[in-house]
Amino acid sequence: MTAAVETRGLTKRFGDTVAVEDLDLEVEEGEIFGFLGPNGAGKSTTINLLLDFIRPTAGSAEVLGIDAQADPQRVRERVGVLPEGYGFDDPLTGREYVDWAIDTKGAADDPDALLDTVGLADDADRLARAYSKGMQQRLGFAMALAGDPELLVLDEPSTGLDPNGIQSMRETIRERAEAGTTVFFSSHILSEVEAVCDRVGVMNRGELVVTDTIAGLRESAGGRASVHIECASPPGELGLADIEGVLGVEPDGRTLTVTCADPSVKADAVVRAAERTDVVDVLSSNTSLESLFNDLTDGGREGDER
Amino acid sequence: MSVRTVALEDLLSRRRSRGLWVGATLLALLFAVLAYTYNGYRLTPFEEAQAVFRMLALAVGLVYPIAAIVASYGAVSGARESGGMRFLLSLPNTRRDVFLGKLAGRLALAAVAFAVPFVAAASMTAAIRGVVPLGTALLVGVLSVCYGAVFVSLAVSLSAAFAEKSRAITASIAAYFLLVLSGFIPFLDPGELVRIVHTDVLQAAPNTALYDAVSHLTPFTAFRNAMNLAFPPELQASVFRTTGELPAYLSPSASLVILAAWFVIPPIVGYRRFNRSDLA
Repeated sequence: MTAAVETRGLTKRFGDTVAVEDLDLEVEEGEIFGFLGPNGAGKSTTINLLLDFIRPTAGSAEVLGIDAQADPQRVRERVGVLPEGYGFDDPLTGREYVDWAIDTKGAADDPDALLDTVGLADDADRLARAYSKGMQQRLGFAMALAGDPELLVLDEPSTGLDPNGIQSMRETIRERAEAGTTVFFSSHILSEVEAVCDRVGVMNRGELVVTDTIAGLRESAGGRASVHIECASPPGELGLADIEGVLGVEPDGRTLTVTCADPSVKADAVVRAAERTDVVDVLSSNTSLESLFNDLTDGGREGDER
Repeated sequence: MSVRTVALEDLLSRRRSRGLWVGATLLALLFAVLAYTYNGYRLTPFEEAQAVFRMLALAVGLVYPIAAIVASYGAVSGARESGGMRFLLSLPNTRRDVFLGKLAGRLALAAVAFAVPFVAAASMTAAIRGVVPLGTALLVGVLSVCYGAVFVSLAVSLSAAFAEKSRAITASIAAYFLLVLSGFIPFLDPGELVRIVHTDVLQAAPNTALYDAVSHLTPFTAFRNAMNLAFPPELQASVFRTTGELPAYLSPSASLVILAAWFVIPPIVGYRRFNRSDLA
């Protein structure tokens, strides 16, 4: 089985800034692959390299077995793209944009069916540039779906969408995947990736830090859990770090965040805290994956996506 | 052929641009008014009609480049700036398709917008003088459309060469000064600059053939010279310093070659730069 996406030593520098460093990424055919990472991690840069919007400093990228730099047109013929940073800058209606995508791909789709899929049937005759951000995102998605591509590349597809929009996009992605389409999408939101992806690759500071299935990630996150303890006054550390199984204690204002090796340790931490200070509230969530993600990405970082 | 889909999308979008319609209409009105008000001294109606087109050729020389630049400088850089390029390149288009498609779209537009004023002027001339110098009108019109096309080609090329509209327009305006206004402003005229260096700095004997050859390289001068193809000898302009019989390289046909070069070379350079760039 050939890989849908395969990069070897892919590197992109903008001046002195390294956006993507020595990336070896493999997305298998037929899977839904989540490309996860904080803003500025290099996700969009990677996608832009796969589509030959930008050229690598070093390394190579193949999409559906085609060299992305040597033959971008053949890649684009077989891939549906929802890019990041697009603009509907021409005075065309939603339907005309979809028509244009269908026409360029030489496909025979019904534009109204595509618009209906993304919930824009009633707005098809309005100018796309007057759409709200969420509607533009839907329209971009409809254009990506034109021609039933073998691979869908979606860069932060949920941007600007309301919960209903996210839900219906997710369903469409699952349907297409069941029909054999490979889906590669980037996101900075863990729960989104968790909900639909077979496999996940986590990017941080231009490097791929882990690639695994969701189940595999859960396993490596272990039983790790955290509990947030809100106190009446700024609590200090309260000696919670001495409890066996507590991995870290982080005071932040009146809230203490305690990371535990095992969920059962949470109770010990709360009891100890209650002995030593006035506890106002306790928030415990099953955030093991999230804390793993935060660990992998240094808790995320500020900055714009490139 | 995705050059076709790129061009059609561009044309469809431009057709909805109000500014373009207003501009094209104003241009046609201007030409009609010029044709209406022109008054030749002691000329037969036919001669006067010919002279109208000679005057229009001068207007074309100055105005068409501006119109071409305004209508074209954003063709590629605008799409890059506003993100339309992401869609163009997400669909099965090569960068060459995008460039040639945009160029073709703007050229098609310019062909219409630059031909219509001549139709307006010819109609006006026919209406008030009862006669149209058909050969002259046709040649002036065709050459003018070609001259306008040269600047569309140049502006689209500059548009592709730069990442931002602001830089594309700056470069286009600079080109207008060097390639058009240099025909009016001596210190911009490349032939005149060569003369100064040649005689004043190098202390050489004047060589008008050299200066003329250099001046001839600008599209404006080439256009003015090519215009002589459309007129009888008494209405022809003397474009060069050289008097009497002109050498072959200063002939109106040579001017056509120079215009063709200006049409072809900038796109090659502009496309190469565009093709090398990061477009995101």
